[in-house]
Amino acid sequence: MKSKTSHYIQKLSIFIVLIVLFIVCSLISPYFLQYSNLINVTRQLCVGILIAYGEMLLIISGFLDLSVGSVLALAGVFSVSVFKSTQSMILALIVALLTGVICNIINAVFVGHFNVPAFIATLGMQQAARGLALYFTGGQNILQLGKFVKIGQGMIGPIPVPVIIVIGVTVVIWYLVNNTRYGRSLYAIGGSRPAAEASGINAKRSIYISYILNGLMVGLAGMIFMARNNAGLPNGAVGYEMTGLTAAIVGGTSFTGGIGTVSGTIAGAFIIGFLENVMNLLGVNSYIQQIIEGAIIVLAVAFDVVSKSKKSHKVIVVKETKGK
Amino acid sequence: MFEDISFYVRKGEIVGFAGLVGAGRTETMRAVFGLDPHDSGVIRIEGKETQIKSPSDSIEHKLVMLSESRRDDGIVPVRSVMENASLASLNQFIYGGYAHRAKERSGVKESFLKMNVKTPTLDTAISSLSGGNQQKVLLSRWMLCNPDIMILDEPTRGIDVGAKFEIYKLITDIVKENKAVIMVSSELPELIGMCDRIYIMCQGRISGCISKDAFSQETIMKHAAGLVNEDSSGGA
Repeated sequence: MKSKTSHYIQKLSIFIVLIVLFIVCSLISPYFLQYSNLINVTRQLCVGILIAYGEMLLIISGFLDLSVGSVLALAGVFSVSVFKSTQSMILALIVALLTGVICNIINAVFVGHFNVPAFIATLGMQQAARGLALYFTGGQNILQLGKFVKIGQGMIGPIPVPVIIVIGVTVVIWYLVNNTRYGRSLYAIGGSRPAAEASGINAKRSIYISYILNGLMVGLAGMIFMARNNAGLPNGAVGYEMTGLTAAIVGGTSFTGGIGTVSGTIAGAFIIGFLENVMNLLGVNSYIQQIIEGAIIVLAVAFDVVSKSKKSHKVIVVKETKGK
Repeated sequence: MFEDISFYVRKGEIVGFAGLVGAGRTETMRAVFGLDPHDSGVIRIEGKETQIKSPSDSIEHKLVMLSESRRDDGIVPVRSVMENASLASLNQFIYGGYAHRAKERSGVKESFLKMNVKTPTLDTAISSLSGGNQQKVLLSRWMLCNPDIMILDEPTRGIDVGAKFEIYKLITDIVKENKAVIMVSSELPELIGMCDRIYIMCQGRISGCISKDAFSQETIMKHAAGLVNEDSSGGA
């Protein structure tokens, strides 16, 4: 029974950290709890959560995506461009999603078919997608987005539009991870790909699905990001993949694969989001913020690795026999 | 590398595969099971020619394989014993649009009872179990597939004596259920004690097949070393 309670405490620990952080943030900055700030944080979090979901799916199965920031920008500038020419939000959406998906299918071909390490394949895409975004826009920001901004700045009733989008995506991702064979396969592939394949799981197919889902979410995130910034920014979202990875890992997704949850990832994204927000409110120098963010991901992974090695220590019980 | 391999196994029979390390037994079985590709060859199940291109094809045709190294491609160490057990039969537990978790728990629990798996809970990570219990979880995995044919590759390797004999009993029980069992093993006493017939492989080929009445460690070793290269089925 003792192991069951400590099991639950461990599961809840990330949420405890989140609540404690929320309290600390409201104490150290008078602006944190202001309605306008919290709404702003929530909108920003929408981008962060979408990215974190994609990284979560990939890290659980033993992969990752370093191209997120670049593909997000690429999808965003394409989408904004299409909207300006056609005034059709639907076309803009299709273009954003297609961009995300195509870039990630390319990732999946290299990673799933040619067995190129995901680190390298997506690093290459990171460069290429950014180059394409800059080439397409001539390095210039696209301004005057008109009604496009609604997807990032709009409201439906009292709720911001991106929040509604993220709630919808969350339901879908939660369902896929917990109620499909695809979802179950992620954990097996990440835990031991040979064991998964020997059990009849089609690892290649799951890899493709994960990258495609990642692409859909990155495309959406791209639209929301540009809309919030009132401009198509080909240089935007640099380094967002790091934020996504950090959020997923802080949220309990193990970097070595096979472990992770949707709720944990949400908590991780919130933690990172609150930290970034409170640092901004306190006027922490953005370069110092970068140092802190770098430290967080290393510490999060270190914590993950160390706690795993503690579990694997075998306890040797020596029985004392009292003499005959 | 293996060549010219022809063998058969019947329901209710345990057929052994002996040979020196590197003789090609595991390679042959991996190809039969669909894990590795093969250049040519036919698999017939109950007389019907069967296309097997992947483990999922095999499993569909009720042919399963317990792999040689549970650490390499058997267990998923970080996952629970339950998830490890249901891994090859997810169709039975995740269908109709959702995961039937209660059914999964009870199905796995029942299988663990039959296999006598000792685990603190169903959610315990499989890495914390002993080698023998891990192997029994894997046996559960394959039994949950309702197989007709089971390939067991070194089923008692790295397992303590007590668990070894438990597994022998489990295998005999399985065979009594009228399944066909192919057992690859490097332990001659094990093969001699368990099998009805033993094929011996040497350097990628089958160098002989002996039946129960002709079993002897000497005969097997002669075939395994390539000193004899013909069928010596004795009085069969």
